[in-house]
Amino acid sequence: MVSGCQKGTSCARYGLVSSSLQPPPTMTFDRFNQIWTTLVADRPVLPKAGGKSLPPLDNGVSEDTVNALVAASNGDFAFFDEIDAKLAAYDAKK
Amino acid sequence: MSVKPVGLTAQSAAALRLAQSAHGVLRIFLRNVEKNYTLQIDQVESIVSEACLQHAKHLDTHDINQVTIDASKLACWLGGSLIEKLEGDNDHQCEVIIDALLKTLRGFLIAESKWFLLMPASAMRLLKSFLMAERRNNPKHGIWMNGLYAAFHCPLVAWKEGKAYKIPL
Repeated sequence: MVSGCQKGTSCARYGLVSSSLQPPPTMTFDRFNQIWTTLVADRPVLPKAGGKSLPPLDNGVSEDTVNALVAASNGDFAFFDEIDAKLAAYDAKK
Repeated sequence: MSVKPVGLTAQSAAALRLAQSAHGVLRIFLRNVEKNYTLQIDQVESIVSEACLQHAKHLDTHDINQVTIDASKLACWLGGSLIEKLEGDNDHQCEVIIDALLKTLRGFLIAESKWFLLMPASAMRLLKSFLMAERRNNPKHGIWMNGLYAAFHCPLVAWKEGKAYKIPL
C-alpha cells in the first residue's frame, strides 16, 4: 500500500503542511538506467510470426523536449518550471 | 526460438540519452506528485520496474519503434503503476496522483506543441472524471492509462501532421 496523503497526515487537501523535511524520493539516474536497460533497452524481442505487413509506428518527442527531459534528469527543471508558472497564471485568470 | 536484443551491450550515446530522457520523465512526474504526497524510495523502485515492464510490452504489442522517449506514455505507466498500489477505496490518494499525472501530461503537450495545444481545465476535469469512474468499477464511463495517453497523444500527432501539411502550401 502507498503511504501518506491520508486524513491526519501531510496533505494539501486536508490543510496540513506537507512534510518538507522528507527528502524527495528521487531515484538516481544510475539506478534508473539499470532498470531501464534491463527491462526496456536490452529486452529480448521474439521474432514475429508471419512477417510484418506494415512498418513499425514511430513515436517519441522532439529534440527540444528531449533536451528539457535530460536537463530534468540532471535536476534542472527550468524548462518545465516556466511552463508551470505560465500555466498557473493562465488558469488563475480563467 | 532465437531472441534478438533490442539495445546494445555497451550503451551507445543515443541509448544513454534515451535513458536519461526517460529518467527525466520520472523526475518530473515525482516532482508533481511530491508537492502533496510522500513516497518512499522502495515505492519508486517498484513503480519504475512496473512502468518499464509495461512500456516495453507497449512497444512490442503495438510494434512501435522508440525513436526518442514517448514521454506521455511513460508518464501514464508510472502514474498507473502508482495508482494500482493504492488501497481500493482510497479515492483521495487516487485523485492526488491523477492530478499530478494530468499536470505532467499537460506540460508535455505544451512542450511538444510550443503552446499551440493547451488542454483546458474543463477537459482535465472531464479526463479526471473518466479515470475516477474506471477506478470505481464503472468502466462504461471510464478510461484508463491507454485512454488517457490517447487523449494527449492523438491531438498532438494530428497537430504535427496538419502543421507539416500546411507548410508546403
